[in-house]
Amino acid sequence: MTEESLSRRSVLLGAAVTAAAGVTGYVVAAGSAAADAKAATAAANDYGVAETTGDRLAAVGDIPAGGGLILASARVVLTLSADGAVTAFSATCTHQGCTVNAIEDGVIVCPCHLSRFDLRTGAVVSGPASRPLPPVPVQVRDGDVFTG
Amino acid sequence: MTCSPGEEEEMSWSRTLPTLIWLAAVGFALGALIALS
Repeated sequence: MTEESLSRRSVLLGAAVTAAAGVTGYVVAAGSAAADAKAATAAANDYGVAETTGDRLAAVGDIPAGGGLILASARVVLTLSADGAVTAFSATCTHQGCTVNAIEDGVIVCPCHLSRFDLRTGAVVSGPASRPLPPVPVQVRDGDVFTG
Repeated sequence: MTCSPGEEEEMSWSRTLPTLIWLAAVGFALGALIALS
């Protein structure tokens, strides 16, 4: 078998092929669905709620006094204090991103690993979670709770 | 056994083609990676 040295022609041909394929790959990938920007994930926005404002979440009357209402689809926990103040926290557990699903004795409970958060402050009461549930800004208008 | 010039050229291309295909695949992958990053 004889060794063949690379000729300038073959090097240029290889570079041209690589460059052309690179441009083709760039164009194909840029136009594909994989390049579309995705909605913010819970982890990407620090376990907060994706940024939408003005969406109606629930009626104030739906929130138990002194308790809370979990809205899984909106990933929000609404709480109603004894003096009628509505506050909201993200329903996404700060441990591994599960959605909390229960409120027991003033504590928000995550079903995955039983992290518990204080209903009034969102602070961690117990469990593997180490960060509190982030608050979510809400507004009360005409007896309804809205995001924003 | 000697080859005609036409046969020699064909053999040269057949040796080069796999390398060109590899280079094209690498280039395509790099281009896609840049587009998606």
